[in-house]
Amino acid sequence: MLDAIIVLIGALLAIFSVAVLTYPLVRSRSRGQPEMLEAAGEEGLSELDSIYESIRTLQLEYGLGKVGEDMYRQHMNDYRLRAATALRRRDEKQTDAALLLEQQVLLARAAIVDADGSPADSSGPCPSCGGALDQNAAECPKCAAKPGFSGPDLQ
Amino acid sequence: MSDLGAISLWIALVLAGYAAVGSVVGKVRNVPALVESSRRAVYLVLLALVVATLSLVASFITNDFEVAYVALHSDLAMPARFTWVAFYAGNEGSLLYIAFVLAAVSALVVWRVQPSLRDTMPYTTAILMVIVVFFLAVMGFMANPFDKLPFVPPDGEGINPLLTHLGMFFHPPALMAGLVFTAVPFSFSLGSLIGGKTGDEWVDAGRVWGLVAWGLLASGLLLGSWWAYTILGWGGFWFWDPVENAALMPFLGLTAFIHSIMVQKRRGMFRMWNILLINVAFGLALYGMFMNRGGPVPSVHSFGASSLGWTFLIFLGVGVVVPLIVFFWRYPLIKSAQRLDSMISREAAFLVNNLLLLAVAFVTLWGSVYPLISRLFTGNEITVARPFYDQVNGPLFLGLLFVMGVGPLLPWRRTTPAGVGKALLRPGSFALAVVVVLLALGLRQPYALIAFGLGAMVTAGIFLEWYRGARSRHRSMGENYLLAWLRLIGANRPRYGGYIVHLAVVMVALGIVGSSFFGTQRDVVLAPGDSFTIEDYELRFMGTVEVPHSNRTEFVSTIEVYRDGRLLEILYPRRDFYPAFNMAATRAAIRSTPVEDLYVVPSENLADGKVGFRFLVNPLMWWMWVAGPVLVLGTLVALWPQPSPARARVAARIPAGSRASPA
Repeated sequence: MLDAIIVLIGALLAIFSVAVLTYPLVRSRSRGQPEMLEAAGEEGLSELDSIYESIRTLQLEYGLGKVGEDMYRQHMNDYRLRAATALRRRDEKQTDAALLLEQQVLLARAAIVDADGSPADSSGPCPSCGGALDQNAAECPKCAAKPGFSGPDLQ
Repeated sequence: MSDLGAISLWIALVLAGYAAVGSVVGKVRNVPALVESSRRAVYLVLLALVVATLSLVASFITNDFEVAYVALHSDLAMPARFTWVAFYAGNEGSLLYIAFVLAAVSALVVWRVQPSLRDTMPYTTAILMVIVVFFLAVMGFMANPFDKLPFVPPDGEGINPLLTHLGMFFHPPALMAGLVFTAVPFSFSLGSLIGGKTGDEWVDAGRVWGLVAWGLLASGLLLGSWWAYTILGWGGFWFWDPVENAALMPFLGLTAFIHSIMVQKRRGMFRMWNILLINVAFGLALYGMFMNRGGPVPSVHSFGASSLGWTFLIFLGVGVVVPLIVFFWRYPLIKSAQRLDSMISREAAFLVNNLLLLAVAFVTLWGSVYPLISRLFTGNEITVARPFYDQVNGPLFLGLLFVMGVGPLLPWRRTTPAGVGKALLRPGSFALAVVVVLLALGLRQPYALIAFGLGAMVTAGIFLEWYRGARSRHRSMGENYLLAWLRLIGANRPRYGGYIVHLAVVMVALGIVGSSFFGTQRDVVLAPGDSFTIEDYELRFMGTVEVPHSNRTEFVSTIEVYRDGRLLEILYPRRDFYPAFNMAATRAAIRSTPVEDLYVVPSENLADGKVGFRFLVNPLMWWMWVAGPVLVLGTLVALWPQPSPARARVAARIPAGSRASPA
């Protein structure tokens, strides 16, 4: 009797494992796009943290008298420059990821239209930033401008 | 239950193989679903190994002596609390423990992966799972803990008496976990390298898991030393035994790595060096497993000896050669973001520290493998003894203590010789004062004087920095000194966690130097009523009583300890005889104070009631054991996560209403 129970538990473990492993292979939903955006959001944060940490250490060492005034200023300027570069690189990456995502959304929408034989989609360029914008949307996903908005007010 | 354990082991092996292959195929062929499926397989490996582990525990608890491993490592008289120790008392159980720990940490790593590592995570997963596959395959084909005997014996052989010690509850699992955890930063490094990410993406994860492995190894080594000190009966704590060395070497490699990785984290430097260092640390961890589980040389750990040597040796070879091939393949892509500004900087101190640590590791490696090499080439096994290690490693350890004192005083990037002089002035003066006082007290051993002086310099440097930092906060923020100090540490956890660990190292050094240079040892035979004087202690042997137990007979001696005619303490050292093993195990009685240990152990019980005793006075040993908790505390402080300032600033830039809400 005990042997049968043991074999049964073993078999259940094996069946459960197969089910858990095959589920991602048969389901259709893709997690690629959210992960791509999340990765872009994380882009450079580690480098920025490292620079902030360096600045904090520099301030500590300056406060402890280990670093002189000239070296403190020189290193601080250096870190600021690195931080600015990292921030610019991060912004570029995020913009690239957002544009890529917009392109994919447009392509997907076009594919749906082709399949349905429905009229052309209602998307067009945003009058503010030039990015893709669904005319039915309340605001541009990139710059938050309203669809009727014609451009930034330079005044 | 053992059948369920055996089935679970095979299921775990298949799942781990699937996870290893599926991760790589899914990544290379760009099939995210297969990568996801393989990721899930990692959790299932853990589940299967939980079942296998519980099955073995159940077999022990139910005294299922049909299972050969249970019959070999327990008996009916074994208290239930020793089930934990019996579990890893032999090779088969140790391998299951190792596979379980590795599966658990792999599941954690896969679950908590940081977004910047997701791209290379399939490779990391595959590497971890290949290691799991190795241990599971060894178990499945060569050392299965669920193998059955052809008959059911009425009782088991019992647990090895040397293992029935409190230290054994923590020392082996901590050491084995430490060795296994080294695989995690190694896998991150190698996975990133294979995936073409040759920058700093893996640094945060590598540092955290490297620190965890380091903390476990350090705790395991200290607990092992304590075990040796109290049970092996020779009054020492470190024998330079090949298995001890095998745990020390990866510890040294990891010590170098967790220092060096800070330079990469802070400055983007030492990228190649860190990859090589973690490869070395992992190679040494594999060597540790080979020595520990392969049993190629005799040692005080001979209860773990086995015939798995060649299997582990081959795995060691693969584990060393493959990462090197990947390293040279990716070599053209690996470039540091910064160069060393100056040789007078904290980065340079880290580099010197690394070189010294590796030197100690390789001296120890040479001493450990020399018996194997001599056996291979001459047919005679020549063992390298303690004087070799003391003479070669002693000065290197002093060098390390010096760098530990000077390094933290140096700022990052660069400073001037005048700056170094200024920083060294007070700690150096304090160290000099300590040496002068010790000379005045009559100490003449140069090594000991240098070690005490350097220890004083390290300690003074740390406390001076804490004082200055706390004073600065006290003045600028009005915090009281205690609060200012706590907040100073809280705001700079990796730095000051490291300083706390440095204090623990100084405490360990005190114990080593005190007992090595100033210890006194006497071996005498005493009859009941006899007295003996060692240093300023008078020891009176009152007699021995026999205490029978189901599996052993205890011979408990009573020693009264007097100083200046005043009774200080009564000690009860004992010697236990285990008929089933035909062996005796001693339990030293120790009167421990911060100044010195009085150590009493009965080395032989003679027929006429006389007892051969070993008496030792070991100065400063107390500090060595107190260092353990301090070391763990420092590691935890260094590990405790700090909020990410970059993430906080990014969050602050996004209007609250526009943040994504959880689904």
